Parts: sequence; structure tokens; C-alpha cells
Amino acid sequence: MNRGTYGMAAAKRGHDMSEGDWLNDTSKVKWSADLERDPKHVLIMENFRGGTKWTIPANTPTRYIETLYAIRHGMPFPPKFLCYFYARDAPSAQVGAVGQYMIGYAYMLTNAFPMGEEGIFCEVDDEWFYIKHYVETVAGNSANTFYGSDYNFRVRYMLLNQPALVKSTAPF
Amino acid sequence: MEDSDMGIIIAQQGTPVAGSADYQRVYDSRRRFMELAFRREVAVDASADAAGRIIVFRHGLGFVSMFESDFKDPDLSIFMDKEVVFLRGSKSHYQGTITLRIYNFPVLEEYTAVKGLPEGFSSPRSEIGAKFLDTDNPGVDVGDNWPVGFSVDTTKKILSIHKHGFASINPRYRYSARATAIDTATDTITFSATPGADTTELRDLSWLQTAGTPIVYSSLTAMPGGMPIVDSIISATLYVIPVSSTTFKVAYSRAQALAGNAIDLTSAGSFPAYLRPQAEPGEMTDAIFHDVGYPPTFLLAQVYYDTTSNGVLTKGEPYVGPMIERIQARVAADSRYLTFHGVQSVFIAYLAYVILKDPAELAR
Repeated sequence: MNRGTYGMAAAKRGHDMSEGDWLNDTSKVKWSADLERDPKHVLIMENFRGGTKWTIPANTPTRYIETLYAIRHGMPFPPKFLCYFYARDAPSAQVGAVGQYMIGYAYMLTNAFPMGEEGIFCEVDDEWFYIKHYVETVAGNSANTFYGSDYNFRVRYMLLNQPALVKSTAPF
Repeated sequence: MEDSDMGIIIAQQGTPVAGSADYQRVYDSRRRFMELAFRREVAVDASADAAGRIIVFRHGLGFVSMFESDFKDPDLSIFMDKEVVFLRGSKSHYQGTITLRIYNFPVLEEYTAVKGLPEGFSSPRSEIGAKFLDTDNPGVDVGDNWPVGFSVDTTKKILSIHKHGFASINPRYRYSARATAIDTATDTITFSATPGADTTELRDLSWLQTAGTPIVYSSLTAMPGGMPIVDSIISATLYVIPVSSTTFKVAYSRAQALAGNAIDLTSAGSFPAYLRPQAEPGEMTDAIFHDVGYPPTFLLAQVYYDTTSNGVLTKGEPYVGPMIERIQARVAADSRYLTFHGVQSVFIAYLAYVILKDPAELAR
């Protein structure tokens, strides 16, 4: 089979096929996601909590990471993903975060300075898709308990049928 | 690319085409898709040109599109203009291999997909779909049930575009000027450009010479290191009454400004003071209007302009960074708008955006 000669194409209105740059061309790869996969490749999760409320002593520049969610994606490569975090609830000091969407990564704003940062991000490898929670403290940080599960998200992710060029949305 | 009222529509399994929501149609040939123009692994061994650009790939599309790459370097960033993909940063040479995906639509041009079904449409239900082989995946046949190897496979959800375009978020925050004196006898404020004004917006002071422009006036105190902080803001929005090329008066309302009725300024305050145009009352300057009917899935990329100076600053052609994996903003989405909020300050950006026909709040 000559794979390059099959397909459908449609010219723009008033234009000729010979001009190329068609209105529709089935030979061009398009983003798609499989709705029938198990575990789900398109999923919404309500009441997704922000993870451990780590208590960090002063002056400990450290990175803490935990996995909150993991599925075997079953793809022959680490797939590209879209991930949206919607803050359903947040600590009272960060009430402004409620009702906001973030792409790929959700800040969990802290109210003290200096401490570091806290957030949720997505990652893929050859076998798994993950959602992870992290805290990264800075040198000279104050002692603090981070927000973790005080945040409550709605998470919607989609694993696409093409390889990821960026495999993690972690900011580090 | 133009809309058409002819085409092929395939709904997801179990959903009749007629009556299906737009996001339940896995294929609608009238729409634009997140469709690849190029996939390339590019070996780069190049030095910066006179403009400081290390050329990676001449894509030749003739328009700026969304793109993504695996490029990561602490000293260089990757961009795309309408002709090339390039690197720019503190290094003048790069050697390495970069994987690129460039999409096939002019993202900075405004596009909105056709709505609804074609007139005269009369196919209530079908379980028939279509698969087309991807020429770059030779190991797959039409009968295979692989997740990849097809350029189009309507047994999958094919993501199509509801709208794309360019948005300037909170553009007025790009403009500012300094007030350097107040004459309480004549009620005039003397202004000048922000020192070191190096963008076309900062050089443009026409807003202070346009009657009725709403502005904010604030006094500044310098922090150690020269960073200005606001120590007092006149909370009311003021409206400009132009007087000369370097002076203006202010009024409490647009109508008063247009009538030339200035406020009696009784105190000079401290200088320099900070001037910035305000949004018109009720005007949304922090939002993208999409009107898709549900909070949608969206994609963003940062847009940039170079500014050249030949005595007069000139804004160059736009170019974009890669598709944003995470954004330094919080986004409120409803059925009509995406609204952007800075995490710790006002969010100001030029954005290329894509609104997908895909609800952020429904799994399928």
C-alpha cells in the first residue's frame, strides 16, 4: 500500500486543489484522545486533595515530592498530556485561588515569607502518568506547615495519542 | 482558511450526530484541528546572526503558529516567527538536536469555528467512522487498533479548535509616564516619558493628549535599589484635559473633561509621580472572549515583539514561544470568557490562544 496517496482533502472555497493549503486534509496528524481506554485517558476527578501537609523546620532547603495519582497509560511512548487544575477550595488565607484554572501546574500559594513554594504538577514516563505534589523550600526558610490537603481541586486530564516532548510540568 | 457549509461530521460512539454537542463530534471536517504541519528532529550547529538569532529551522509556513519542542537550555530560549524557528539568549552558538512539532494554523489571526450543523443535514445516526494512515508510522495498518499510526481515526476524540487568535491582556499596564510638577496656580500637571522608555508603548504619550482618557495618578517613593513603591494613589479615576505637549489638567468625569472643567489642584504633592491609563469603566481588559458555551480547554503561548530604534522606536514582527506548559497566572473560565489574574501582581501579556471544542469540566 502506498500510504501517502490515500486520504481526503478539500480545497478552500473558490480555490483549486493544486494550490495546496487545503481546508481539510486527512493526511495531516491531528491531536486525538482515546475515550474508551482503561485506565481512563480522559478523566475528571473531583475532590482531589493537595497532599501531605508537610511541616518543615527552619533553615532546611529541601525538595519534598509525593505521588498523588498514577495510572499505567499503556501507550508505546510517554504520551503528551493536557492537565487542568480547578481550585474548588483553598485555605482561608488563599481564598482568591478558588474558582481558578491552571494549566499543567497548580500553585498552592503560601502566605509566609520566606519559605519556598508548593504546587501540583503532571509527569509521564514510559509506563506511567502521574500527578505529583511538591514543596521546595529556600535557604533560610522559616519553619512552617504547608497547605497540602487544605487545597481541593477538580482535575481534568487528557492523554493524547502522540508522544510528549515535555514530560513534566514541574517548575524545577 | 475559510469556513464551509459542506463537510463530514462524525459523532462519538453512541451519540447521534443530529443533536450532538459540538464537543461530542469526534470529526467535523469544517473545523480546524490541532493539526501538525511538521514534525522534525533538527540537528543544529549554528551561530547567532546579526539580530542575535540562532536559526534552527526554516518552516516556510508564512504564518506564526503554535509549536512545541523538547529544547531545554538555561541560557537560550526557543521561538518561532512566520518564517523560522530560532534560539535566542546569552549564548551565541548552539550545537545539538531539537525535536519540533509545529501546528498548521495561523494562531495570531482571529478564527472562530462554524457553529451547529449544516443546513439540510439529515443523517440522524451513524456508527461508521474513518481511519487514515499516518505516513510516518509504517508499522500500522488500517485494521490495527493502535493509539498511533493514524493521521485521522474517528474512533478517537479528535480535538478541534473553536477559536484562536491574539490577545493583549491588560494592555494599559504597558503604558506609563511620569508627572514631574504641578502648578496649583494654573491647575496643570507637567509630564514626561518614563526615564529610559525602551518600548513603543512607553514612548507613546498620546493618551495624555487625548481629552477624556481615564488615568491613575500615584506618588512614588524609592526603595533601596531604586525600585519604586506606591505611597499614595489618588483613588478616583481622573480624566485628561490636554493643555500642551507636556502639560494637562484633570477632571473627575469624562463629561467634565470634554467640557474642559478642570479640578482645582490645591497641593503639589511629591515627585516624580506615576501616570497610567485606566480601562474604560466596564471594559474587560484582562479577558479573552470565546463564547463556546462552556468553560473550555485552552492552550496558550507567549507572543513577543522586538523593538528597533532608528530615532523612532518601531515594533517588529510578532513571534511566539513554545506552547505554555504552565502559566504564571490564574485563569477563571466561564461559558464566554477566560479571565487572567496575576499570581502576585497584575498579569500583563501578549498571548496567542487556542480554545478547543472540549469542556474543562466534562470528562467526555
